[in-house]
Amino acid sequence: MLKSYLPALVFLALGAGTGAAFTALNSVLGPRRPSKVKSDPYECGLPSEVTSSFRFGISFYLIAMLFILFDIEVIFLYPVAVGLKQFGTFALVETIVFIVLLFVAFVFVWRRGALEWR
Amino acid sequence: MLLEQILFFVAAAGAIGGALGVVLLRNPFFSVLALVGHLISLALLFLLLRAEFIAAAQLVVYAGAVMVLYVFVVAYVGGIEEAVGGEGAIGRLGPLFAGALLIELCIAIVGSALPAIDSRGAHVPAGFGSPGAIGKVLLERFLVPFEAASFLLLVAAVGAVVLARRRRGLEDAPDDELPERAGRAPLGDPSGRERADGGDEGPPAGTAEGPGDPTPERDAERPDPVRDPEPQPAGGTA
Amino acid sequence: MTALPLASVSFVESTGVQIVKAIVIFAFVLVVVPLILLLERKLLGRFQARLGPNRVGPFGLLQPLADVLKLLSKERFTPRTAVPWMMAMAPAISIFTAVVTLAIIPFGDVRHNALFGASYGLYGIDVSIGILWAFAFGALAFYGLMLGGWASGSKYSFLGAMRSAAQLISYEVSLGLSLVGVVITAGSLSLTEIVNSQDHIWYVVPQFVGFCIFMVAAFAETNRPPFDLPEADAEIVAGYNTEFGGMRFGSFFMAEYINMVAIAGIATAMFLGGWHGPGPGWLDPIWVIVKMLLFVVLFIWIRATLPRLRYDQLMAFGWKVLLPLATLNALVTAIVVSA
Repeated sequence: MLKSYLPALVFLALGAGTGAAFTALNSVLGPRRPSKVKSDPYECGLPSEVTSSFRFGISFYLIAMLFILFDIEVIFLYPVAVGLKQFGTFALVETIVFIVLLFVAFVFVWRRGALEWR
Repeated sequence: MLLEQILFFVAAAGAIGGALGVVLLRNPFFSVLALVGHLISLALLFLLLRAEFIAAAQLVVYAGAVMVLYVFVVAYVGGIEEAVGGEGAIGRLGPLFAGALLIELCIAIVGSALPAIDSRGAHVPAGFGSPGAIGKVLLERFLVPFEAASFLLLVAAVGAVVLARRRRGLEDAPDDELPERAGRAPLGDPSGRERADGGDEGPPAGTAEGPGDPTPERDAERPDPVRDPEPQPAGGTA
Repeated sequence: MTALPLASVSFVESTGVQIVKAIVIFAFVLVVVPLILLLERKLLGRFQARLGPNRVGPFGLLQPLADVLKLLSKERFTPRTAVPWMMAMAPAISIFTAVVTLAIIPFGDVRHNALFGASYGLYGIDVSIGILWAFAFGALAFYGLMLGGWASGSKYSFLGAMRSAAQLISYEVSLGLSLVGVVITAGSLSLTEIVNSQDHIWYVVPQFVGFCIFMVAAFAETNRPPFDLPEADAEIVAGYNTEFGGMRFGSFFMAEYINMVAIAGIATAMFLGGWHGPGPGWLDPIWVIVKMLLFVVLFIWIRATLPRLRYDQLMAFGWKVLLPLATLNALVTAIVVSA
């Protein structure tokens, strides 16, 4: 079984190699003329501030939280979906209950306004 | 076979290194990244144990979803380069407790693992660890946990929403109702103009059409910057 | 323990064949990506009633080469506020995850005693987790953007990174759910088995809703217009790659195109019947490539047609339209197929 993953290993190596090469090539091939202005972060009208004290809206946090929940739903559904045809009605009912419960969660989240982006 | 062993040691070193990084690095963002490295190594270990589906789920759920939340939380709290704790009784007893736990776990693991070193390991039937096998087990043997998982997710969704609302109320307005954005971060600003892609001149360089790199020109174009001599504003907002 | 059913004992080639075929697929995509670049610029030109690039080489054919040479000869610079090693890692991660995803695209079925008497399958890997491989590395692609934005030490980069992250995760769920219908119908996660089960009817017909959801989510996942908000230049300059220049910028750019090829390949296998098509067996890979090209042209066409979404519209669409629709699609498919 593990043998069938060998091409994947080649892809991993090729991907890492290409990425590293593209990242490093400019240092080799490009000129090097540093200046003070060049090393400023990009700005556009306002002085550029640095990120460490940046604060983000709660929406990002909430979206990430909901993402985890539904991502787990999807990852649970995949193995179940593979054999759903063979397993018969009982398995089908189980799966439907599973999906519906999460859909209830979804409706609740929507009703409470957590999906409004702000 | 040799490749498998090499991969095992790579993954094991990655897992231990990542775990150490989580504890030792001061910057929370780096800690989160170390944890990601740890989780990816664990996925590789799972794969080597023939648990294909678990390995994939490990990447999708932990490295891809849970860690995203961690990154967002670090972004939300801000990257404060300071270690928390270390004072009082917890600071003194903490390392002691951790050491005791480590020794105990080592005894337990070594005790059960040493006899197994000579053996060939468990016999693995064909298809073990594949999604189909996991699905069968989920639907037949672990029916209740499977349904309980979805109920747990429901509870988690409720909890997340309730907590977020309370936090938001504390954050910027006394009322519990969701306030309009008043002077908040400019994210998701609905005033972002819609731009018909590829205007008359073609798309602007740097985003779209050609890999025309705008950055060096951008810097060259700018005249003598006014605020150049003044130091960058100190980022320390208590 | 009795032998488990559904044991997918997939065919395994000899080591040499496995390595060679991986390199061949990778090289093919590496050659094709610049051509797609050229195709996009040519088509966009035509859509906008102009000629597109036509100066470098005959018909502008050498334009991508010129672009790459230009990018390679640029200076590498990092802002004073950046974390240099991490800025170097970010584009590499993006390229890495994009390339690795290519491994699961099936170009054809297993051939026995074909070339030089060797047997081989025309795909990178065919494993039981199948499509989950793409999701796993699609999830890791998040770190390319996030590290790029965070390490740049520029507010536009960071804003862009957070946006891309929120966009990616919002559409990833719909992307995953939209394929559940196909998986239920085919009874497998392996892409070659899914293609093989489409010899009567392509899944684009019975799974049309799933197909639509998949395509929309795929546009969002690849940051293609109209979902290119991570680099919405009207608002946040160039998003997470504001501070990147030269080939590092080119890496992000190229990763986007490789991702596009990968998504086109997955869509071909999941919905358009993969290598199924009229003609003799050796046409199989050609059919896959033709269908993938169709998707690529669709990507370009949509880009020329639709304006960019507003950010709150984007999130609302992902969560309030696509997700319930995808859930419903999975439910209905489950009931119809197995009842």
